[in-house]
Amino acid sequence: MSYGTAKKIIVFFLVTYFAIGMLARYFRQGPEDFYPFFSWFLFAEVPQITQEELDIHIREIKGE
Amino acid sequence: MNRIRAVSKLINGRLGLGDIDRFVQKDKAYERAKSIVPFFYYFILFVALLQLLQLRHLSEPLIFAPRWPIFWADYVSFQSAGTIILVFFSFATLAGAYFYRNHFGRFVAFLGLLQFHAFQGSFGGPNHQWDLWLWVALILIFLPDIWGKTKQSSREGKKFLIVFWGAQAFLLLTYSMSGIGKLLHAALQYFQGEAHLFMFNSAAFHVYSWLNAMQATSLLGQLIIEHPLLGWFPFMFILYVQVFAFLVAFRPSLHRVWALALVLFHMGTYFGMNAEFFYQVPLLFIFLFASPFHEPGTSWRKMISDLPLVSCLLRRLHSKHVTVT
Repeated sequence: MSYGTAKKIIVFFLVTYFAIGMLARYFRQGPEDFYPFFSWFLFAEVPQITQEELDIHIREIKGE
Repeated sequence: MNRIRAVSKLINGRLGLGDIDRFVQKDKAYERAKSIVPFFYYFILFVALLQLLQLRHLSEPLIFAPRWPIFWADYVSFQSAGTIILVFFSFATLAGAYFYRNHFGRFVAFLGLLQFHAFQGSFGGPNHQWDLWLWVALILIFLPDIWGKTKQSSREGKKFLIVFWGAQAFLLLTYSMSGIGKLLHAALQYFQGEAHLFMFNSAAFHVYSWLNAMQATSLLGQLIIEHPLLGWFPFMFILYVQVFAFLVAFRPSLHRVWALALVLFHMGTYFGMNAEFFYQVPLLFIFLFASPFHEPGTSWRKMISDLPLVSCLLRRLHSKHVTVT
């Protein structure tokens, strides 16, 4: 394999990983990405916090 | 045909693909790259040995849905599958650490990593901690076997370096994908009238939401929630670092700076959100901080003028100046 071919394969690999990662994100069937490709969209969406969220921790009921 | 040539010329010029040919020619870079590669295999051997500790408490999980590389695990008990995978992982990486100089050793190490990676992701949810290691191991298989040669031809040296560069570019590409994801969602959320990335409290929203979902606390979480700007400025900085990470693959003067910024990013997400991705850190050090393409005496001026966006701005200012004079 020549240097030129190696370079083309590397570029092809990078483009393919990018394309499959992105496409898998939007066209996946299940809850997961197309293994072992991944879109790397981590913390991409800002969560909507529009109201006060309260946690209630019950520590004791009738002494138990 | 002319159009294809024009597009290829544009990509070569703008992105810097043509520059690769320039920096993969250096003999020093080749020697450095050759000495860096073994560390990749030494580290996965170390990790594989640590994973053997799991053998003591392998118990049937609630969900075990084997990924395709470990399809065979469906035909044996969970304990047997886990034992085979972890033991094979340790021997495969030992082979990689010892025989990294030839294709076969590197291929066996990749196979061990693939089995382990698939095993880690077979418990009902994705596990991306080892994704980059897996893909880099695959890329490194294609390194030419020229360690033993006392004098390699420049063609072989160039081929070695282009494969090494491929691993660097892949690492940086994944960070760019993450940055692009943030930008895409920012646009979507902006047009939907929702809270979005560029609002000052976006980082605080992330921290609050994540810590709440994980029922966890973090060192700086409360501080960021109370003072959202403290989280927003680093968040914007890291957005810049992520979005332009792939461009940095073509600018060796920035390899070390970007490695440092990305390590700080991983530390920051842990301190702020208790979200850890520490397994990426050794990769960043091996492939970018110790980058063979980085010239030791690179000046700060050169690094600043190579910064994405800054370089564009400087080029425009320069061309304006030249036109005026």
